[in-house]
Amino acid sequence: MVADIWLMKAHALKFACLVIVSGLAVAAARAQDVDESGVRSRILALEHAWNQAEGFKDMKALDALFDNALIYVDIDGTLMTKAEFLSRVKSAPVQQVVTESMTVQVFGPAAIATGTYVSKEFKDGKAVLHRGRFVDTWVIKDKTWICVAAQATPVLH
Amino acid sequence: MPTGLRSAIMLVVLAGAGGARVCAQSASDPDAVAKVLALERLWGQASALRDIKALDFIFDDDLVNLDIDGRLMTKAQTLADTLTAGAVQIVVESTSAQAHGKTVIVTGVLRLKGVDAGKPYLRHGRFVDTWMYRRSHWVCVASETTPIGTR
Repeated sequence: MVADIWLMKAHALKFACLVIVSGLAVAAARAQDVDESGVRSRILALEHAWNQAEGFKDMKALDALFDNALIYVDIDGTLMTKAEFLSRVKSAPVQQVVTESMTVQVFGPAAIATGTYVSKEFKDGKAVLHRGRFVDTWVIKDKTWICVAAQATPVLH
Repeated sequence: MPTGLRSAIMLVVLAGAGGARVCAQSASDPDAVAKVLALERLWGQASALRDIKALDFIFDDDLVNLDIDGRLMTKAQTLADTLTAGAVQIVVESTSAQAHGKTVIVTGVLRLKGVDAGKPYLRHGRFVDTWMYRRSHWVCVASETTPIGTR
């Protein structure tokens, strides 16, 4: 009889543990979903802020978005440092950039933003259109998301 | 047309062979940089041998691969492309890497030489690969190649 009671208690305890562990797992998964969703929104906002800052040639805003060790590969394959990219933005003719689509994948402390865009710039009085695809890498440093690498590739097809 | 960085069967001329140059620089973690650069070489070799199992280990399941033609591919598409693509010779001319905690960015220059529809081609591109330390090993989560001088 005593053995039966102990067995029942053991089963009850095991069940309770299972419920608690399952609950914690679900809660953790939901928290991760919410967290990833938050990061995605944050990165999308930063990408839009980048477009706006570039359009307005807001160098202070751009400086805050990029890591000092930024690797930037332009659509013609030119490799630029952060200083070189900022200098190019400052001196470049007015350019309109329209992001057509963008998705963000979160990998814990890093996120990859991918999308397509059309840029329109004016050269010798003529409008020149470029269509490209981009991949930007963001990492979190000191609780702030910062872009460490950005690359664009022309869409040929 | 070439099917992109390491997504075809390749003869890869790596650092130390054919005068290729590899220089590594690290922002914070030389060990991480060394491991990732070794995986970059392994990637080239695995592609040359069409070793899908090795490539499966190197690529994260959520890999984003943007090839030199602007084609965006998933991991499954990249692996399938490796199996079906024609022969391409890839010469990696330079590689450098920077560590940002659990993320390493590798950038370099390569030349692609192959034959497409009976016509030989030679292309020059710059690549950026993003590696992450996940589940106890380094995996490539994003790779992109831009043709040089085609604007």
